[in-house]
Amino acid sequence: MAGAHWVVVLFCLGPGHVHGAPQDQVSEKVASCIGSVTQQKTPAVVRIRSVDRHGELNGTGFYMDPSGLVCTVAELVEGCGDVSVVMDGKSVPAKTVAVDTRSGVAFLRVEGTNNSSCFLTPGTRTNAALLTPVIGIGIPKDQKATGVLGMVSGNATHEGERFFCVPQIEATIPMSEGEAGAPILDLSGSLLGMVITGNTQSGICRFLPAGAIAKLHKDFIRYGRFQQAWVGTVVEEAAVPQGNSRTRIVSVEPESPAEKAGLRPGDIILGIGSNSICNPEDVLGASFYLTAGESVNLTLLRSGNLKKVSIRCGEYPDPATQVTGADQPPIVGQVNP
Amino acid sequence: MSHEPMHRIIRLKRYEQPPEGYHENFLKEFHRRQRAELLKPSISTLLTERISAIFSDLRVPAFAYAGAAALAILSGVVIMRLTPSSQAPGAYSVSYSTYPVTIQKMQPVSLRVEPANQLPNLPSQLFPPSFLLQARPASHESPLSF
Repeated sequence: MAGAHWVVVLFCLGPGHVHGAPQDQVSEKVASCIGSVTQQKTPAVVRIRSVDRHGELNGTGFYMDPSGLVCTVAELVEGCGDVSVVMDGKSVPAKTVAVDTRSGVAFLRVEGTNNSSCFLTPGTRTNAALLTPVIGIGIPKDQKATGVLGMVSGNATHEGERFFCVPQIEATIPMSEGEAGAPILDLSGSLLGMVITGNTQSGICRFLPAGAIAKLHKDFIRYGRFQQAWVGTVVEEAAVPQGNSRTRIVSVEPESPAEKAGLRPGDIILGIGSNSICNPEDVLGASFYLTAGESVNLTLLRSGNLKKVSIRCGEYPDPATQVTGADQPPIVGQVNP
Repeated sequence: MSHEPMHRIIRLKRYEQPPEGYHENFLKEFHRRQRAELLKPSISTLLTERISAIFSDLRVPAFAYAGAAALAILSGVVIMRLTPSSQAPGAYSVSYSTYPVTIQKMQPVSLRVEPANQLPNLPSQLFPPSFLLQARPASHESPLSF
């Protein structure tokens, strides 16, 4: 598998490096490329430290903008106290300003003015092509930030029988403990996503695409909180596809935006906004990028007739998956059932 | 069934004589086997025999054995009850286990929810820092709804 990494990197660097170029020169070029990206972007990567009822937690995060907003995994700060960002060996207090447990993302605001001048702006990419070379920059245990090379190996839409709220990307990057929340970059240094979970034995990690982080960032900048959208339908897989889609509405929640817009059980969803819907799980990836309070066009098939419906999205009703709020103290000490 | 064949054999055997030295050899062979049998028994058998021999010499009455056994059991029970507990009443001990903290206490434990900044520094002092990689996967949507 490691050999495949080099093949991909060599391909990306250009054919001239493969044909006729000495092996050591090619290796130098690859190392230089990785080293350059790592060196440029490492100042944006910080260690996140918090304390929960079991003790100290450590992970990784990264600056998203010059205002001192740091992105990390929700697990690291949700229900924790004494959150701090460790930068250049100095610990700076940070405040948890937003948590989205659906996607596993949390935003922190670093208190003080000595924020990093380097930051990683999330782009709009919601996926990455197979075999795309990627670099993960994390802070493993007590070490300094290190760049690790890997490549995209697939997409993950679900775990077992349950689906993620937004499809994640799998990559063959051997991340270590303490690197949850590490940024994943392409070879040009652009942010591709953030590590949600990894397996040290298999060397495979899953990361949330940058587009999902960008959506949450946009919500936060605009509304000061995450605005998860809700339409109010439950879908299932239809036995027979209609109009190239197997996504059938099973039920419509009472008083929901879907009911107000006239959606009915039995309707086949062909599209949400500009996203085509083929399978039921496609609605999760498409609906995650909707914002509460905004309208979206749904393309439906009802009794064989094409129908377009405009729906004004409501707010996601489950408070457990919503924002904690900047001023609410985190609650600890509760006993999980 | 006729007994005639049997009578004939007995008549023949009546005149049959053992070979010379048969009785002397028989005695020697008997003694040899007896010695071999004495050496064969297991250690436990020998031990039992010897203990029995000792006690038989002492002429201890049979009920004394039952009394000794009862005394031994009674002593064991008393010793177990009198052994002092390693924990004073009301004290608790903290140990590493599957769950980070195990509180063993005779009194009921009341749990209350309080902000993190009011918690004592107990956890961070007791446990080494943990480094997160297996973050909880992004929430699962079931059934598929939006």
